[in-house]
Amino acid sequence: MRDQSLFVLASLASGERHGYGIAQDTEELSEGRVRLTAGTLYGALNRLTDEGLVAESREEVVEGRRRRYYRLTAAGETALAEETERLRSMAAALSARASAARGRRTTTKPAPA
Amino acid sequence: MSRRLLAGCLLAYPRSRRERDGAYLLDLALELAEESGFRRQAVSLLRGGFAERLRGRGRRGALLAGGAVAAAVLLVVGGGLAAGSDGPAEVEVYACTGDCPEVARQVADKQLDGWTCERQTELGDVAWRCASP
Repeated sequence: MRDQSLFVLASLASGERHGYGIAQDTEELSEGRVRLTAGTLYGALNRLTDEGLVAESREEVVEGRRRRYYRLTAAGETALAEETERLRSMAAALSARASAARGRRTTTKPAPA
Repeated sequence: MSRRLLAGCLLAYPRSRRERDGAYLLDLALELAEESGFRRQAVSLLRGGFAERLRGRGRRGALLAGGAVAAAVLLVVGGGLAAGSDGPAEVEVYACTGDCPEVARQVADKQLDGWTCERQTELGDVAWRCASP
């Protein structure tokens, strides 16, 4: 799953949001690393909708602007949990390997000259 | 002017998408543009529209159509910026998704002609913004 899709799912995990709200929440959640633009966000939401992971919930007009709200579906909740678990497992495996490498470096004595 | 430019960029999307979601997508882009600038949103709409065409036609067909889409995009943005009071006289934007040697070649030709092209990538999509010398 792409980063932006994962962040969209995570953003919707706390309740329905409109596109602008998703973009703001994603930026905050990713500490500024993922900044969604209109084209990227719209594409991600379409893909996730087609996959049944999110669904449109309602539309409203605020100060003359249309806002479309989305919500996480049950399949979306499952996908988010599975993807999070996959990343957690991967991070643990990589972290263990990195720790082992650090350990070897600190215990290896330089060869005599 | 920015609203008109963003509306023009929606032309990159297939007609069916524009008719269904164009107004909503334009409002979303305008709202996001207030924070990140309308050029960034304009480029994202062009890339998004191209990606949407890729999705709709299948990868092979879209690659064959890539040149035509890039050209359409180029006219919209070039015309929009030329209408403004500041900035370069001529700006062209090329956008594509995945491997796109044909578009990259067009950009390289521009650079040989003295244009300054700035490459932007975002999650698998790539765009070049070229300004005339």
